[in-house]
Amino acid sequence: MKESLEDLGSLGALASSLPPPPSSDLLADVGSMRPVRTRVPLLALCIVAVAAAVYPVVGLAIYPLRPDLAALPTWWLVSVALVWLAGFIVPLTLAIMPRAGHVLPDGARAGRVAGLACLTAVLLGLLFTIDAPGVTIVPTSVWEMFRRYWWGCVSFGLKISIPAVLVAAAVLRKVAVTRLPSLGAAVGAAGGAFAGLALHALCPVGGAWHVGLAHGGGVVIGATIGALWLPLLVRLGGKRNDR
Amino acid sequence: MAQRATPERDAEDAAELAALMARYCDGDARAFHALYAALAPKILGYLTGLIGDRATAEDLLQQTFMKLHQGRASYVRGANPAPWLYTIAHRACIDEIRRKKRSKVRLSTDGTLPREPAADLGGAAEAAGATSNEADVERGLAALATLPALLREAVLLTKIQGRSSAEAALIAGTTAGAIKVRAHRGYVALRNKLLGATEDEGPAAALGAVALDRVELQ
Repeated sequence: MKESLEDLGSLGALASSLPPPPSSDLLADVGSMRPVRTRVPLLALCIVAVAAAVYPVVGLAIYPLRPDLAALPTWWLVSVALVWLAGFIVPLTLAIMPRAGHVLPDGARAGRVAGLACLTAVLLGLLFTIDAPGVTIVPTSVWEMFRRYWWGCVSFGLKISIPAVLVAAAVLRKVAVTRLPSLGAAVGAAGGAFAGLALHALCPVGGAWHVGLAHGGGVVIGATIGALWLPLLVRLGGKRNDR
Repeated sequence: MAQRATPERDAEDAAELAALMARYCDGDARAFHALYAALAPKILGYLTGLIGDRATAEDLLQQTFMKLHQGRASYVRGANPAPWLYTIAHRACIDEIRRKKRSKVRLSTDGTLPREPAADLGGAAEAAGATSNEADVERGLAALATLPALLREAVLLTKIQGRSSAEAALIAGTTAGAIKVRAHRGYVALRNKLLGATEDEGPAAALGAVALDRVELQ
């Protein structure tokens, strides 16, 4: 069926309706306005990326590298590091950068990529972890992994995701974006993926369950926190600005 | 009626609006007035269709442009400001609906909600040469008001305002696929209603098994 506006009859009037003139308040504000520096999304992206990078960079500088690093295949170390890096860059870019010709980032796309990043991070750990026998610490059971090693790596991820979400809320607070939970999930997942990258070089604990559920789980938890916090933080920032 | 623009015309319009917005951000008040003249009629039509009340829509229009003014530093140079402005209007409308829900509700003696005043668009349709009469427009708005909110916004954005599915998705905060489905369902329901289909084979039938009657604007 061909869908045309003519079929909707008088509703065509809603396509364009004679507006009242701008209010006196608005006219007064416009009359006294000064030039403003407009937003540069790439700069905003860099600011959020730097906020996310502070803790892992400090961590890499002060903590010793994992002892089994020399015993692991270089191709695996590099390829897994590239996946973690992509997990950081792609969701973060989609959450902050609009498509060409647009003002707003595409929340739906960012949300889909955040979900994909979570899934990839968990599966990467569960299916593609390689250990160096005798050198890598491998938990003897899933229960032991949760009890002794899980929280340390997840909390490392939170120390990256949370600053990223806070700074993202600051840069997005006046942009009137939609789908904030999806954007928050993307920023949080990106933070978790950066943590995964740092832990890939730092964490002495191996085993598929640990890498999948603690390092990959950090991405999921980061995405969840971002999805919950970003809308609240942006609204809070908006209310402050309205005062 | 909205003009069905070609992609070239759309691109020209977008470039023109982007240039106006850039000048506005540089402090040129004339650019603001040109932008208002270009976009306020469309935004007002969208808000009227969404909220069903011309007076409230006019208030929301002022709020929308005030928010644009306050947030103009968030503009990205070179971008088409129209979808962004629609998004601001959409958010203002949702806030208004939420505010109304939170405020006290007057019930009639039989416990039903009083009907909201219908929009007064008589004589305001500039594009169509103001040929449609007030009763027709009221009938159209009444039919639009019977649609679930998500279908209504999709129809307004794509069929009436002529935005692309991708733009409408960005404005409404959903996916382009969802917008296409909702716009089609809404269009069918609205067309049946306006062409005088019976209640049984009208909107309810057109909506099929999709129980969207309780969904709210997001």
